[in-house]
Amino acid sequence: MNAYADALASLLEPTALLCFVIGLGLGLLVGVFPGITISMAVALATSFTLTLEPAQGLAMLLAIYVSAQYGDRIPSILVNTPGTPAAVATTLDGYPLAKQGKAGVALSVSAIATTVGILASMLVLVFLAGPIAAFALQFGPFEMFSLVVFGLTVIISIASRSIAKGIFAGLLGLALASIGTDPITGDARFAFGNNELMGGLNFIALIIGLFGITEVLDQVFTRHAHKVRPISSLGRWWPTKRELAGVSKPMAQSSVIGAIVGVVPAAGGDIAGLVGWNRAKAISKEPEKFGKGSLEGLVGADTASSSTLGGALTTTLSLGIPGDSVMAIMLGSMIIWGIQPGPSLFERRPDIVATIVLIMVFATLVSTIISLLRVKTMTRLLDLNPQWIWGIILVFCIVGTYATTNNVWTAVQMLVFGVIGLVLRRLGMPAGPVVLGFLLGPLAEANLRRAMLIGSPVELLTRPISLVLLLVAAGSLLWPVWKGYRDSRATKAADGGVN
Amino acid sequence: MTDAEFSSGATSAAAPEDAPLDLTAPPAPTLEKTAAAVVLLFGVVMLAAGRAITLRNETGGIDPRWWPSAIAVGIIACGAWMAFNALTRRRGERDVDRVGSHGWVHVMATVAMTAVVLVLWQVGVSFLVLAPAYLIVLNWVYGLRNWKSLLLFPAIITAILYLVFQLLLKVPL
Repeated sequence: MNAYADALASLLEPTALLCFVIGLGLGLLVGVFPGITISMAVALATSFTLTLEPAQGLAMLLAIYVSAQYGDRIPSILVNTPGTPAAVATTLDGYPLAKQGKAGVALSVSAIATTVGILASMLVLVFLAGPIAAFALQFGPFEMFSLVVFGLTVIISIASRSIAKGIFAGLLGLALASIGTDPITGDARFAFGNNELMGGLNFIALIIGLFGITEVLDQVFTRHAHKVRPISSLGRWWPTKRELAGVSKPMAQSSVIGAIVGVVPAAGGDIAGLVGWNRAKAISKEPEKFGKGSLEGLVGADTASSSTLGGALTTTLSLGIPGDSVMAIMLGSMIIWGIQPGPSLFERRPDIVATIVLIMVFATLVSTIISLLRVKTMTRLLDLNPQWIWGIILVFCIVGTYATTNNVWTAVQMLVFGVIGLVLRRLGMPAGPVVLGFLLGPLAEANLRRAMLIGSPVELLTRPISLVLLLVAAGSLLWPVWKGYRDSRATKAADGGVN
Repeated sequence: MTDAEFSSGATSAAAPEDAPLDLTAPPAPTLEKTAAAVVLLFGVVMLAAGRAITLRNETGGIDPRWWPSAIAVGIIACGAWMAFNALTRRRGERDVDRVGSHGWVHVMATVAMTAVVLVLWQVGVSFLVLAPAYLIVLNWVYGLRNWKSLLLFPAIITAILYLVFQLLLKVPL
């Protein structure tokens, strides 16, 4: 309990509270504006938080992470456009409900579902992360290398439609991480005599470039004048007791679904939301209403997508493998603060784990209160010019990146990564594996080389934990390839049958 | 379409539209082939550069050249896989939106202007001078012509930059 008392004391300091409030506000705004992802906001905020104490920085980053889960439901319900990918499934029933004049009920029930989901997922973090970390303490260099391979392959298989492109994205991240000095001998690699490159590429420039600049450039590139006006009539606000009782079953089921999906590295709220919606339909007495304005469907989706948060934090903190893109950025920030997430974190820095749990719970409770107040003011933000938002993001990306080193070269790197990110995105190559590869590259290399020094490569396959991790990694890559092959054969067979 | 219509979305503002437009980009087989070729070339160049890394002590085995070379071989394999897919698949579905009406111009202008701003900043021009000019030109390029976009908005953002970074965070702009 001492860890929690210490954490509470550090969070009640004025600077930490201020960071928390700013994070909450930013997160809600980020969620409301379609196209601004949580990854982008957290990446940008990272440039401000690097100079802060860990508790203060975490207060801002995690508050953004949590409150954006609430904000992103607003455009999903009122404009049929998800504020972030995690709210994709919210549109399935949220918008039809709004069209029926039940936007107010949909917004308030969505907020309640999100709260239940996040708080349920905190139980996973509190009760599961410690045992997982304790188990992972047995890992040696062989197991650690296999764990990195496992983390990378899972994000590749989930984040990309083409496995080949996903693997390339991961390898590109590893390649970028190899620029600079060798971690063991100190020899220069790919620096070409340039002092700036000797220190390696800047992580903040990479994430702000790939998540911030790329996002803006892509929106500028694909902007169409077509725009749907938000539904302005919110109607009744509070759900009836009967309505609440009707959604309790999908809420409980989706809490479990989201918690399980969240623990899988890289499987985020978007996947969990769709699975939760689907399973809610399967147990509903009125499945025919799903997709046409069902509160059960809305709750199934929102509870599942929000209950991934605890799982994502669990894998990030206990294994050092990010649960999603936001966690990858958070992991990078923690490393910069001198905190190494992973098995030893729970022994060395229990205060950090307690701080994270407390911030998540407080942010959830405050966001719930804000969301349950009428959000008419926030819905007006949906009418803001996207061009203004692009300008704001670009300027803050430039200054934020520069502020981390007071060197324009860092902002140049950011712009280059932004352009590379746009090219990758247009080619269907996801940014997540690039960031993860960049982040985990040194860990993978150091552990592999250490393993080679103390044993032989065969041990990667003879040590049980390492073997299991590598088998799961191989399975996660081969399964989509096999599925694609099977689907294409089925399509060909169907085409043949028609002809 | 007037500027006001563009910014307010008035063309479709009469009622919420149920059927979203299909904005998905069409398949681009040539782009897929080009991408595979570029990935292959990148892998080959990285392999050559990796093997050319100068070492202070030649130890052989798992040395600093080994890891970049292994990554490069992986990239070459991915390039070959992508080339195989590009050459054998009839249609590759894409997961991205189609390019907007002035998309190319807007994105090139945005990158060029950002690069110019960074160069000018590097040679000593204050960012507090560059920021409003940058925002005015950006908004102009994006089609905004009203005084709020060209005067008020850049002034407010520059003031916020000054307050947050220069005064509070002591970042020299």
